Amino acid sequence: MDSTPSHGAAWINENKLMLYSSSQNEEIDFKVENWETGLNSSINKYIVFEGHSVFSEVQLSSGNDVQSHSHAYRSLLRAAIQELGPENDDDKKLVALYELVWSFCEVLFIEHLPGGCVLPYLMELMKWHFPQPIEILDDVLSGQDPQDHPKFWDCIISLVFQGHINEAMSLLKLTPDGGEINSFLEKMPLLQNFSGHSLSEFKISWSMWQENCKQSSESMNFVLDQSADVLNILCGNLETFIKYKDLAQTWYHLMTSYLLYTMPTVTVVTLHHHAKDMMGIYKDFISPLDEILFSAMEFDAHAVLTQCIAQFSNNWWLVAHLADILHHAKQLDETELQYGCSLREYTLLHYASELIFCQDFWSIGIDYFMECKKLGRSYLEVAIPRIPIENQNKALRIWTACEKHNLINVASNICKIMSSMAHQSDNLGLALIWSLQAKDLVSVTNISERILDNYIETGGFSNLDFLDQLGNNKLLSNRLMFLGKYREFHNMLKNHKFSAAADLLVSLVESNLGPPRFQITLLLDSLPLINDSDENSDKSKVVISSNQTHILLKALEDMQIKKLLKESDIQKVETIRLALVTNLASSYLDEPW
Amino acid sequence: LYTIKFEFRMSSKFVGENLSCVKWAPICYSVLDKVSLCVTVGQESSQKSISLWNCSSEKIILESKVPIQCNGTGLSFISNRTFCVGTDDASNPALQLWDITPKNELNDVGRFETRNKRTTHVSSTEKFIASVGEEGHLQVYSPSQEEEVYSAQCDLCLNTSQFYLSDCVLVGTAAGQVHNFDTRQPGDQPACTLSSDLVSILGIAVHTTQPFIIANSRSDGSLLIWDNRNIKFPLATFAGHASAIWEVQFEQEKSDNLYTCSEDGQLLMWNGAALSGVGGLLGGGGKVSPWLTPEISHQKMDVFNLLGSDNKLSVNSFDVLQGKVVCGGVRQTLFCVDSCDE
Repeated sequence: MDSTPSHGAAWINENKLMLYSSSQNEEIDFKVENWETGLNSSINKYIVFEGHSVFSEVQLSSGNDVQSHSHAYRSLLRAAIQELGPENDDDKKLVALYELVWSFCEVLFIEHLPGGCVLPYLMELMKWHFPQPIEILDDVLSGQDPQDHPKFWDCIISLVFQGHINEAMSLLKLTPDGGEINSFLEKMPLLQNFSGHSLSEFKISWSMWQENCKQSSESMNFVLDQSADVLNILCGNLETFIKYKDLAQTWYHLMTSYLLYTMPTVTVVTLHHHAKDMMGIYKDFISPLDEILFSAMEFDAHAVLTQCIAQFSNNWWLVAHLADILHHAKQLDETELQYGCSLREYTLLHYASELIFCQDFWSIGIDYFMECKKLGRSYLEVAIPRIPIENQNKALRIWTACEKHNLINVASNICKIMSSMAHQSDNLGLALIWSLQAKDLVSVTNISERILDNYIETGGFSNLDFLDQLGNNKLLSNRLMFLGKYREFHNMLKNHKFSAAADLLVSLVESNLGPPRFQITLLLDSLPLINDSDENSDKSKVVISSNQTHILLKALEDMQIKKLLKESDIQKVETIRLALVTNLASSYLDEPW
Repeated sequence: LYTIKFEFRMSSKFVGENLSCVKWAPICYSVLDKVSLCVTVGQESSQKSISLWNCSSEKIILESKVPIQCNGTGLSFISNRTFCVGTDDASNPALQLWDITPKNELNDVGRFETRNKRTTHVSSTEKFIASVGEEGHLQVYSPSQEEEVYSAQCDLCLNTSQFYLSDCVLVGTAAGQVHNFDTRQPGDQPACTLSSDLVSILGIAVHTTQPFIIANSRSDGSLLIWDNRNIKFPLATFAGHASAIWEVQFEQEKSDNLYTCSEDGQLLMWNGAALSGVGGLLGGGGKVSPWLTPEISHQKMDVFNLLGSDNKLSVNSFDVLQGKVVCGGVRQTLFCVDSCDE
């Protein structure tokens, strides 16, 4: 026989792999390998939870305040970068990239721009992402002779690039040509200062100012070359900008600075032309991230998202939330992909799949799945039964989540799983509770029979007092009803309500609600109700009437006919028959004719 | 008219793990200082731990942290500095005892083996520790004698426990019953039982000054109030929350105030103390607890959500001491709410 071993592997879910090996003669040996996905650093957890909080708000809102929600996302990303995680952490860098992409998309797709002027927002963005000029400024000013600091002129150029006019002027004062340059800088018109006036007024002042700069630059002679460079920047001279492109570091920073000094009222619509030129200057350094930002400038939301999916391949946080907010801002069309749902739903499904198999996030994952109207529920029906259940509390929580979202089948499945687990570890009470919750008729019947079997063996119900509180649950199963009634019978005996107990017992025997093998036990239970002529007790009344005794005798006969009795029961049968017949006699004497 | 103004100050800290239990350390540095140290136990998280936090200032600071492998499921303070943690570690079932050193570090000081493979709750008094679990065992230990002094077996998952009148233990079951076991009497039979319908009991609280008032919190979001002198029917049922109420507690200082935390993300404060104030609404100057007169409490009791409406993720546990509330849950954030009332 061929007994070469075979090996293989199969995916269980996104972060679990099953490895197995077997040979024909032996049992299969398998091992499950799992690993944590990239979501487990504290910065990632933070953005997941806070992102969920904003996401829930977005779904509930009417769509008028998309801007404030977008700001909320951006501020949570900024808070995460500033406060959490060690410096130079990979996760932190990833979140910084998220923030960059988000900020661009917010400015281009979501923000309401007065007059379409995008530059003030881009300036603010560059100031946040490239804080080096201000950091170097502190360093330069702290020394004895700032003008001798090696980065003195770099600092000035960077400050001018970012529009930090006052700071640049304070440094330029220390240079020989500073006074003249400053005279131009302080007259520079800024868009922020022109609120309340029309754009055309601003354009006119600004053009006049720049004309002035250009004329002076032709005629002036400066002591230092760098001073001439500063004035050339103010004139919008492209060569000078290219000369300092390393200070700007990226094409979008250089583009923003260039636009500040050539076209401060640039609108969102024409931005991509300038972007293309700038990207040409940095063409050796273009990365996929830059493609994403360029697609955003072309207003191609679809391309932005697909490029993000490719770039951030295992991290769906950005794509899912961005797709959702663009959808609410009506910037994303609803065409169905080949996948069977829209792009937004596609990204949400992937993100939710990432979450649901993480122990920290499964409850959030359920919320995200529920927002996927087309495919979410079917995904959940497969995913929820795979969430590991470590204790009863967790089972309760999963069940509650299913009920809340109306996933009736899944909820019922969970209850059935918990019930069979409890049943296997002999915890019959708990098994019954879960089966009742699942409204699982078969299981309830099985457990009730098992409880009754235990009673036959042990003679007691061992602390299953709650069976007295079943209420309407009894209607679920005949066996359960029988069990409830039987306990009622015992309670009546305990409380000395003998005639009621007798009536109940006889109805139980007659009804055949119980399992057939239990009939003998029921009949044995009639013995305490039958008078013993030797007893000198005060229950001289006959409790079981003659009709009822006939019923019991008939039941006994039926059992013998149907051969339901075991060898060991023969003795009991005789005892019962004797007692019943005695009772019959007493009852005839007792009853009126 | 008697009015109370409430101001709440909230501070919060992202802790990076799902919190299953949160309790104040009842350490008093001086009469004027408010309680400041709290212990949290984590569950269902890649980085579970037992952590000690300092909540004295606006910012919450981590003092000490010990990682654990299994979900923490129970936490209770035995003395000022010693506390007891239960877990669902079926391979090594035990209660762990920990100490807080004066330098705010955590020291492992011992363990008690448990019969339950998965502990669900731990409660304690100065003399005893009680632990209950999924297999239905109740065990009472004496830390001073370092041994078990009482045990009982219920055939049902026990979810919660609470000491009652120093020698009795109330345990809540998954079938909606609260059994009262007397530790001085041997045997498995409870001294008495409060029964209602088959809704799992998740939390039990005993009124601090009138201990016959017992509150039960349940898995369907309802709150039951019992008068232990008459246990045929509950006094009142309140539908406070949309889903399971995990914990319930009466405030120690203003014992008519009740707090509940729930799966629906709310931490509610039931302002009973306003109704039983001096010379208050019930007239006669009597301090009858409003919980005993459900008609009044149903109509007039104010209920405040201490966490605001933003939080929709489950609050698993909380503790209130000296008017300061600390809580945490699925959101992996520790919240501290300090009420300053006038």
